[in-house]
Amino acid sequence: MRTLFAASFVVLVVLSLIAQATKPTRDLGGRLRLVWTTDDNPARQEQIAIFDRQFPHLKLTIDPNNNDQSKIIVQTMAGIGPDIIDCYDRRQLHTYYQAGILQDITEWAREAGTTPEICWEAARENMMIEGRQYGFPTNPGPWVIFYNKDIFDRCGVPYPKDDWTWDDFVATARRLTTKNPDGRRNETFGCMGYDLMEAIWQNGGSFYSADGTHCTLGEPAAIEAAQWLMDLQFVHHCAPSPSEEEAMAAAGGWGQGIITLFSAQRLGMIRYGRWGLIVWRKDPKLRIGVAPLPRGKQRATTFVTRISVLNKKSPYVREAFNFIKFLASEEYGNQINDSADNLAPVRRLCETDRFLHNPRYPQEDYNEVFRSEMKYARSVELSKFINPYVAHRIFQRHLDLMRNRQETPEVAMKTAAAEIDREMLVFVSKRPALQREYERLTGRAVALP
Amino acid sequence: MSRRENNWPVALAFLAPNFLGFLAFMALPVLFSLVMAFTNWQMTENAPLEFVGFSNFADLLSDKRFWGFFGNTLYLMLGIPVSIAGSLFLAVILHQRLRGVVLFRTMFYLPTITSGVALFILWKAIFNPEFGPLNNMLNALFDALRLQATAPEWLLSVAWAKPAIMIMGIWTAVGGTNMLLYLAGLSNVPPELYEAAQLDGAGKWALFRHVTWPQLGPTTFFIVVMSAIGGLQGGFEQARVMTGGGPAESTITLGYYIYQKGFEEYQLGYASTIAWVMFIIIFVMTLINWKFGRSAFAMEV
Repeated sequence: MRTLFAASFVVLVVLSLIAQATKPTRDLGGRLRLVWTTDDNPARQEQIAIFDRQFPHLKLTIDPNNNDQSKIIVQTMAGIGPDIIDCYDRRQLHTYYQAGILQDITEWAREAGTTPEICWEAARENMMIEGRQYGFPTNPGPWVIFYNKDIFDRCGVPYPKDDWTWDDFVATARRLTTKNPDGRRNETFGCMGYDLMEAIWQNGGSFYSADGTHCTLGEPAAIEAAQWLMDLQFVHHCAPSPSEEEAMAAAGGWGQGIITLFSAQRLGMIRYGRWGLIVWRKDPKLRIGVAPLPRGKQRATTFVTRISVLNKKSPYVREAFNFIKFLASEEYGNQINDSADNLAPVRRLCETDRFLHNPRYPQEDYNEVFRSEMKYARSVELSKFINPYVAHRIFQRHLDLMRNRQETPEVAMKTAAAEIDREMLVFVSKRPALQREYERLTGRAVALP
Repeated sequence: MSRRENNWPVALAFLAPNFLGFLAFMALPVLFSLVMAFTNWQMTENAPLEFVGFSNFADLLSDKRFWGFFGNTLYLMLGIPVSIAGSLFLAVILHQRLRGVVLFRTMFYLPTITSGVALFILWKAIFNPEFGPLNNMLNALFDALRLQATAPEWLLSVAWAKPAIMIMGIWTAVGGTNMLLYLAGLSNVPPELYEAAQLDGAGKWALFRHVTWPQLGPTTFFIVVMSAIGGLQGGFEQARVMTGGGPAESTITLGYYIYQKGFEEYQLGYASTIAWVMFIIIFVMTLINWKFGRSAFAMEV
């Protein structure tokens, strides 16, 4: 037994030494290996190939397995984080900023000409915090309405116009909704995927007041928008109910369900981004049109992008800045435009005939819609007086209750606003500097209920 | 020097890897979390770490969400007695000398050795309100009985999500380790007890009631204690994979709440407090079980 234990011990030591010896090194035959945490897909491989060509002394590798936010923070704080990190929304950017792991690239960007001014206007608040630049967008774009021309033609419905309204949208969606022969289930739904926050913006509402000191979900604009959205499902029956959505999303994946259903002629219109074309291009029979999101009291859509930031604790942060230069390059921008992985982050690269008319896909005569919608694109609203994840969690809970029909839109929105306002008081009461600012802006002392 | 003394260094050398691992990955983190429970530690803020005394504990006591999620945890534990009864029932059947009994034992045990995530995804499909086999069956039944009823929306419904997770938990647990423990317990019951009872004219129910059940008392006590501990700690994986804690937080348990506070809202000090309060609750409940359960499950024939 003693021999067995001793032998096991020796084997474990040897294996540990082998693991240490074969650990990937940063030096790959004279090229420095940079690590980028992002999702893996064919487009990413193309982008890596371009980067490696542009910077022959560097070798870009991706690490899709360590893409979780908490993992990145812990690894970075421990000194073993990636060199380049992708943020999937503005909340994440601010989280990393607060964790103190972001490299301020303001000066480097000024020297290299990769400043926010060359990007889309809506991108700026996604790459800057308190006047300093911390990142660069990778593939920005707006949400739009994709529609299936075959379903429109079959139902004898005219294609949407660019200036259509909520009423036009509902009327169109209702006409596109058809039942199965047995009359029990819908064969097609008129629309799917509309977002409540967008509807609130379109109706003139917002999540927070302009100074961020209170939540405005309880105001009439937000309540009306929530009611309009619920009516699509439960009054007009032209959008799938939660259970129908669940059933239809069985295909799984990141938005894959809705993409597949659209291809399968089950949805007349969906709210989606340009990257949907990556899949739909594979189906030559699918006839697609694109329209802006309909107008409520005003036009609005959500600005969506990944944002690449640099780990300030990386020993190779200066070399990693080359990645930001790469994102601003023409070759990268054209790759994003051509592959339909949304829009090039540098605006001028979308102001070309090449962007509007890709000779490989002549049927795509709607690229102007993506470009023009960027004027109305807005970012996720944040308030410095509350943890964004807490606010989101409260909003989501009341959205669930509303969709479960356990709360009316009015009760859901008002209660969510009240709970968020209360959480704000709790949040600022534990942070003296914020409390002072909050009290100055609101003109009243913080008193916990 | 004696042979016994000579063995000490060797024994320590063999114990060291495990002991060091235990220190590094168990004892020290546990101790660290205890200290952190008294601080304002937040992973995402550059604010200085401050000792806040018992304020996290005071906040927790008035945290309605904590008590709501404790309620969810207890609700899900209602399935434990059912699963224990099911395990006993299966064990009694599979203890018979039946043809293919080994195959049946293996089949019933399969969910325990199957990946949890795979099972959760399978059950998510079963609970699909529109196309899931469960609702297809229920709707066919309602049609056959001409009932104007609608099958539940299961995981999408605030009212039905917890029962759905409970049903899945019972299905998984019935043929699991508890069944094996009962099978082991049954094989230890002295056959002469059955013979003596049969001579006294005992029927099958009387044999079970007066011989089998009392003889399985220690096993049942062990299962009850371990299931209660597991139940109080559990619910995280199911909620994470199947519902994300929703709808409307109806499937969040204490374990999930620790994760939410620690790794979604980054309030690690508060999350440590929840973990320690949960430990205290489990400890007290186990003591109560120990105090009253031992006598209740004492072996009396």
